[in-house]
Amino acid sequence: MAKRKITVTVDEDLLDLAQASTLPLSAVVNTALAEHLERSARHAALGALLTAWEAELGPIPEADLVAARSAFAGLTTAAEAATV
Amino acid sequence: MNPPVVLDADGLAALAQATPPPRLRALLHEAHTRHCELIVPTVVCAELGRNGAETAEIETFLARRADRHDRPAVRLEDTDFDLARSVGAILHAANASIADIVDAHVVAICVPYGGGLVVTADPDAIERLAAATPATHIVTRSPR
Repeated sequence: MAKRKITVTVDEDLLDLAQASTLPLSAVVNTALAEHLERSARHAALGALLTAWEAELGPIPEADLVAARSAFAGLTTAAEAATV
Repeated sequence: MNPPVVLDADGLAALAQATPPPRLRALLHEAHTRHCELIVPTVVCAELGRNGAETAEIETFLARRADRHDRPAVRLEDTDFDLARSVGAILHAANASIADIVDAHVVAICVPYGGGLVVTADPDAIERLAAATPATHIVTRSPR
């Protein structure tokens, strides 16, 4: 695949760590950018899917939304506790 | 790195329905708001592949593309050596049989994230395996 040279600005400490690794910095940046774009595209696709369902099936009942928020809140709280 | 939402066979089957259950839609809505990834171990597709009708529904769902987005909303995670090793360690630690291999994939995918929300109709099976990885906090919810 064709490559193009670009100029990017990154945090100095991150650059130090990246340059200390054996991987070429361009490859690291290329992989990180590809992964970011992949995640963004999937996030957008999920948003589009939710919008389409809402148009086809109507809004999600409030009780289900409250239950979903509760499930994620428990997940976040436990994850934060695990990192303390 | 936000914990992902991981679907087992029941979760993926519910997602691929023409009319997905409101409870599942709500979980995915919250996942979208929180920028959590939606992941299915590819081996789950093999479990569902025993049923031809469900296979067709899943193929249709995975092929579904929004106009501007050339990706399905779900990421299928293939089993590479690292994931296989993690699955084996979970099965060993939980003293589980090979019959639990698909559920062990679901749990193993949560490990690098430190946790995850697993959408499953069999929370007992997932929680029994998750107990083998105490540093990984897994929450289970039914899709229906």
